[in-house]
Amino acid sequence: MIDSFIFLVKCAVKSIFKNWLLTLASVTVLTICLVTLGSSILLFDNVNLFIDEVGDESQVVIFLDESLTTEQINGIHQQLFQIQNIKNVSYESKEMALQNYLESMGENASLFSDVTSDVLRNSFIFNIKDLSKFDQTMFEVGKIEGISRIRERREVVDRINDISQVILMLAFWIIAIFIVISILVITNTVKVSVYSRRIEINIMKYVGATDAFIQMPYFIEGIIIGILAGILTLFLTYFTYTNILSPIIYDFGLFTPVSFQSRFIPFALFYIVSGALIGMVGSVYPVKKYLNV
Amino acid sequence: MIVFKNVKKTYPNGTDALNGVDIKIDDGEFVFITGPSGAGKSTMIRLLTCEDVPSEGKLTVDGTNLKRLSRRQIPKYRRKIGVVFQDFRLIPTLNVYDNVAFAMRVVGRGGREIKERVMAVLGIVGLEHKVSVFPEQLSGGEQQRVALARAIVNSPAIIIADEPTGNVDPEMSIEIMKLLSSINRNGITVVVVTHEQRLVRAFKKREIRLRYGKVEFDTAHDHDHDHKEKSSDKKDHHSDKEDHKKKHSHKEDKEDSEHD
Repeated sequence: MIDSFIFLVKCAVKSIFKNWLLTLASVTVLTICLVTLGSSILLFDNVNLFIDEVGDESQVVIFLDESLTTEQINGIHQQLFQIQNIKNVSYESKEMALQNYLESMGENASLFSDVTSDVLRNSFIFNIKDLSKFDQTMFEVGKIEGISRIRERREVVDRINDISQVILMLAFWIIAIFIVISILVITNTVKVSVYSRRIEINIMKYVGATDAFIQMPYFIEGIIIGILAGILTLFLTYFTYTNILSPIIYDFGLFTPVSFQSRFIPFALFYIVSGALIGMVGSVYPVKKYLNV
Repeated sequence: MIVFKNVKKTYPNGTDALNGVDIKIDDGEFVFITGPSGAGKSTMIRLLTCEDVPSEGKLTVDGTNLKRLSRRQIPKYRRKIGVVFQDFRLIPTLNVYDNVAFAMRVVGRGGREIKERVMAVLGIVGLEHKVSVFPEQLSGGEQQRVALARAIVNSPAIIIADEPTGNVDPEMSIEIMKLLSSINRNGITVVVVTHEQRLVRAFKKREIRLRYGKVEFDTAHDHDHDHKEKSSDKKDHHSDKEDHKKKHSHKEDKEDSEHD
């Protein structure tokens, strides 16, 4: 069994070197695909981080009825805690609200010295975790009794959601197109390899090799191409992101970009496994044609 | 045992390649299949190697109905047969040893077993001194001997040879046929498709002649035909037995007379 496996791996490696130009083409196209795939993920992660950082823009304030007792206010607090998509819930009494307001006025605070806390209302302030579920969350919040008014910046949330959607769609189509191109290029490489070894396949069939055994070297060839592309992508993305893109984002001062180092292992696994899978899929069809002997 | 029972094969273009063939080949027999082009010889081989299935009738090999074999069962069946082609079908990038070992590797045999067996079969075909030589450096006859070694390396029960002497010179043709005969003497059924009547006449084995997809004559049944011997080896074997019996009875007679 081990002998057979070594034999199959040797066949695959031989073929890779024999058709080195096609192998190079396959690895290059698959690398481009995987770089796009990885860049989209990094872009998406950074957008999410950005959204988190501008999260204050999506902050929601609910003002409570004046008539509520302390117990009823605590009850509302509990109900807010039970809503899954809410984070950073804090209570602001009208006295605290006035104090914060005066502090925000700075030197002009004296102009409001006559204002009492009675003109303000007790409130809860919180953020939405997943902005795509904003409406649904606000509907649940709206069901809580004792709320007199809700202040939210729906247009900001909608805008952020729109941008996320566009990025997601773009990433999806770019990835899909590149995956199809990669599969086609690998299919072509394996096709050439299969064609040059059609006599071997024919003999294999006559001496009683199983279809799985015959397909194995091409699977291995596809997987090796995929793994090579995966490794190449990992280092390409690592160096371009860490040394070029990340410093640029940082220099803009918008937010601190996500760190690649902390995601190195998941990314490594992701690239290598995706590469191997795409390679495997690409190697299925060309062999099948020659198996019908 | 190979049994063709009213086997018909019609190709999608309407050609009737086999048109009701009835043949029975016993274990250990040596059979020539002859006939002009288009007689159905290649179709017979295609059916025997499970490349195709009969359109009608029943084809069984060692009791297995080939029509009923599933795709998964075909490789297992093919390990029972060794096929030799007119164009040798050796892998040009592999040397003699690896070309033969290849057949064992693809059926999952181990390293030491491969080494021993490959060297043994190369010895049988007389090429043990050419293990490192590549096919293009060999003559047609030698290439066919490598192909023969590859066909027998997995110890098949049946050898099917499709025009095995088609690409070799006349002298080497005789050598190839002698090799096939010696393989047959070890109990392996040998089916040789050929159009060379010279060889058929020279080796005096059973001949099944096809014409228009039908059996024109079979020397096993047609006793008036020149080649009526079913299997010369079997006959030899029988005559050996008879000689032995005769000798034995003569010895007994002699002993009896001595006793007397």
